[in-house]
Amino acid sequence: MNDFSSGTQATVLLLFTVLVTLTLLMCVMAGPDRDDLENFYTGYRSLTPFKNGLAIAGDYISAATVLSTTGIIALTGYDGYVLAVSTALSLVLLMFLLAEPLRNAGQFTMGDVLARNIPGRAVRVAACVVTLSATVPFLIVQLSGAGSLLTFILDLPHVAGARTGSIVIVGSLMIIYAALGGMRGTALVQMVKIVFLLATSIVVAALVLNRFDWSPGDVLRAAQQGSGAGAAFLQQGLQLGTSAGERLDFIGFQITVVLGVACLPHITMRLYSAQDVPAVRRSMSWAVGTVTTFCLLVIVMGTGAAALVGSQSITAADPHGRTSVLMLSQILGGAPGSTGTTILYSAVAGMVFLTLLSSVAGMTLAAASSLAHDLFAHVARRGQAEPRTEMTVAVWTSVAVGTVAIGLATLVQGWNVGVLTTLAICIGASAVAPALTYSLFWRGFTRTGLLATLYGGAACALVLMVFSKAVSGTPSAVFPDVDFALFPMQSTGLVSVPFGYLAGWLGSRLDHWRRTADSRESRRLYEESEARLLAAAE
Amino acid sequence: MQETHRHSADLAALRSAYRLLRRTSTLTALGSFVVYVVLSCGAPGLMGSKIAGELSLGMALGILQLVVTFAAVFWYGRSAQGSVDPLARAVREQAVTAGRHTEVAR
Repeated sequence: MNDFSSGTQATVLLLFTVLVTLTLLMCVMAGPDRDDLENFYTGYRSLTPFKNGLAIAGDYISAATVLSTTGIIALTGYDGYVLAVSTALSLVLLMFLLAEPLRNAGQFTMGDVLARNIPGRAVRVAACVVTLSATVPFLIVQLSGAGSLLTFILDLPHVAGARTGSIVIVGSLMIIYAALGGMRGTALVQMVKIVFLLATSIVVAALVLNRFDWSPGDVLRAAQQGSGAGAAFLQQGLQLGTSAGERLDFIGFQITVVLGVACLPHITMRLYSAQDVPAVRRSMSWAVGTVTTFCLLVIVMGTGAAALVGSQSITAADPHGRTSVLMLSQILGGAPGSTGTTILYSAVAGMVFLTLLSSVAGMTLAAASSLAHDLFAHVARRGQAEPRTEMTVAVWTSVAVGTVAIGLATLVQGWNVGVLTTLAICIGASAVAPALTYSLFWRGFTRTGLLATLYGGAACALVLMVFSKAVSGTPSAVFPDVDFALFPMQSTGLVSVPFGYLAGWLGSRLDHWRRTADSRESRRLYEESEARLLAAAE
Repeated sequence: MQETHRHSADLAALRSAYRLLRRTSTLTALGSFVVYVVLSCGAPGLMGSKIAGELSLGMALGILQLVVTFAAVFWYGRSAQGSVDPLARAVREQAVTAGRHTEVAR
């Protein structure tokens, strides 16, 4: 399916080697000193807002956004457009609602924000559990995707061994970035990635429009034809269906995306490394601008893939269309084997590779920071850990998280793991988002409420997901041959988000009646830290 | 005593300024998106109607949201600079003087 001369493969391999060498060098040069915690977790808050904004955007646009969203647009048209809009909007909501107080309240991790007015080891453990349950599934999806993508790009034989090899290589690189680079090192890699990504996408989108003489109408007409769906391509419903239940499912999923994606810990952790509130605002402006531009480009690229590649070839290569960007670049370059094709294909392949590497590195770092800072320093050592020890632990937890993720990704590589992305987003929307909004804006929030939100929201999303139509009972499910789908939807947000908020509210009410002293203490701590929360006043 | 009083008054002003900014911006962004998605699903005929060539109303609205985002972010930055930042600065400065008076350096 990838009929290329060995010249193209050689160019791609060469580019990959150059990219890896360059980014590794940057990571090592920018990496923190051995016992410098502040530097490892936040990079001394020394990045300018512009650079930090690019790093946030880099963390936000994961390989799943680049590959899956383009694929969904190419295959389902309108439903994909809505997904692109909701992806961009999620970061806007983070900026408007949470970014500034989060920056003031947080130090290194989500546990720091939550334990600010509700201290205790149980809270730290819960924060760590939820951080892991939101980042690890996401990490596994990207890693197992890396397996099939690298075999496609490098035209390796499609056997399990080649995929496992690719997963192990990408995984090892990701561990090195996270462990050696820390926040500052990964930020530099994210910046390189986002610039490379934007530049390549602009070229690809311009080539698509150029093919159709810059007439959007012609692109859309060709896309309707190429998709084989006709007018339905430009109407809601190709992705999940058009019955009332399926439409409700669609609405639920889009709202979950808006609420959940930007709350994921590997995004919010970048906010703690901003210098002050105006800096975080400018960082977020840059990030939102970059992400929105990219979402517009994704719309053009996805539509172009439907128009030029056609849905039959796309689904033949990958049923979820994740290779559509690569296939589009093969067609746009001109004749097979020409210089144009080689350059364009190598650039897009390099962009996908770099996106994969940097997004998995960011997620590993978020998971490892939470393990080292919340679980080790604050639970095991009760906040008495030496910075030097914590730093060493952080490096080793990066290795541990990475190794576990590589192992799991190898195990599930044959499955349709897209459901894990949905799970991570649902946990973000039903556990992380309620916990953060309550903790930042509600002085009546108490310990029981916090634990109920974190564990209840995450458990509700997990259980419903297991019994959802995405896991069993439908041809595209993870287990298509069995049917234990009791929950008739593809995503759980419609139930689990209200459940998460309700659990937090009920838990706090319960504390007001049963443990008045405790709830008064939480309120006092909230009020005491309010000047810091709102104005960064120490 | 008087200082604490002024401090809490400033803090309250900052709190309500932030709340107003937060609510207007969040509700507008989230609200417009929810309306858009519900319309897409509830009135596919309306959203599918062609407004210019092949461009349907639904697509135009989706792309419009993305384009308006740039303006919204710009507007948010401007309003925050005008309404929130001066109050936050006042609260910070008072915290510094209060800390000097009572020698409770945190």
